[in-house]
Amino acid sequence: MVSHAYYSNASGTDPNSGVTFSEPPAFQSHPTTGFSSVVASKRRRQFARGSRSRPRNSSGLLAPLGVRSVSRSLLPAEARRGLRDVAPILLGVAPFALVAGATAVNAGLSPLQAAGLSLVVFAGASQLAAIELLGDNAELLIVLATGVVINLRMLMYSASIAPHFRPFRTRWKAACSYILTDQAYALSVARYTGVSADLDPTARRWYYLAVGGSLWAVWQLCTLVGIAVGARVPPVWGLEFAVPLVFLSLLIPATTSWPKLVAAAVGGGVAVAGAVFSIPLNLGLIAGGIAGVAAGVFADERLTGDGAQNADAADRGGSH
Amino acid sequence: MATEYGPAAVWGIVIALGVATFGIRASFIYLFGRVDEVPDRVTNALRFVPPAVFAGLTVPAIVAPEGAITIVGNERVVAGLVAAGVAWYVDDILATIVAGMAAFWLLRFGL
Repeated sequence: MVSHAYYSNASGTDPNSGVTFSEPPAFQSHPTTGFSSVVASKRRRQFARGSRSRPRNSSGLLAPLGVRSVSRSLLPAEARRGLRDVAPILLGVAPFALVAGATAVNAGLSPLQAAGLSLVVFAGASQLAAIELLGDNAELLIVLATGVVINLRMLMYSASIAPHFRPFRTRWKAACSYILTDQAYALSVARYTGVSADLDPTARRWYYLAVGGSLWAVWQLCTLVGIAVGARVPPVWGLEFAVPLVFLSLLIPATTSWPKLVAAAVGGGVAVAGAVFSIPLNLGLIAGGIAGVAAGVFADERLTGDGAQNADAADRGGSH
Repeated sequence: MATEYGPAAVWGIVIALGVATFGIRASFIYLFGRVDEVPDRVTNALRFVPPAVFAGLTVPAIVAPEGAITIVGNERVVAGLVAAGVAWYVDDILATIVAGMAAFWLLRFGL
């Protein structure tokens, strides 16, 4: 939602990202193949800004709403801390959710179906892909497979954050899984592994629930607003063009190294070929995804010599 | 762009994608709590999923919205380049959407 989930990316999402969305910072830095150092360093600063302690800025965005003074008495410290850290990210997630709601009704989903998609799936990039493919009347299996492929990146987040969640009760694990996004992952892992952080399980849970829960609430609310708005926008305005624009804003921050640029070029090229030559079943996107990943791995190995080892080092460095 | 699928098909996709996505999210947290790491090769490959898939979702919708590559007279290409520039320099989803849609509407309605 991203994601910026982007991928997020944060880029999340995404985290940029992807849902996330837009910024997956733990996995995107690649010291040995530094492509676009300006953007990469900007992104590192940004991530640091979002994740480190900011005592002087504690009044933050929530102060004008009176939320802070209320939360001080009602919420544990780590929950307040999480709300403070996530506040600026919520502003970036809101438009992504608006687009997800508006394009869903534009693609012919009923308002209830559009809201259900956000509530049940809660993963922006895969929601938009599903909306686009449903609008094109693609095969249902292709709609599903495409959405799953897009969400596969969350396997990495699940594996990376699992050790921190191990003491949680089963039902908390389920709740935490449901609200796992690029941004919730990125902020929480940064908090858990920060220099000063040696949090007990309850504190860890509060922080994660504050971050992930507010992302969830904003996502649901803004989807509803988008549904209400999207139903009133005439087709000639071409609202569906906002979908590739969202993916573009997740793609650019996700392309942080030469191998990732190769993956993007091959993925985009194969998907275009799939559209031009009318590859059946809208398989072009999945083919592009597979070809792009293969090309990225290959380019990584060629460019760095022993790509896998370096990549692992980068990932570990980022996520721990 | 309007789906011809009925309510059963749409809800089927919502549920199936929701269950699959929850399964992905819960996999290591919940089911395989004792496994510490994804195999290195898988982790390495998964890093390339976002750029590959996001490009696959972006590029065809911009250069070939009707199924044939159209550059001349395609307002999406210009709007997409404007949006890409904004995304590169500002790195903000809202700014990217606003810039791209503004350029798109300007070319479609204003010129």
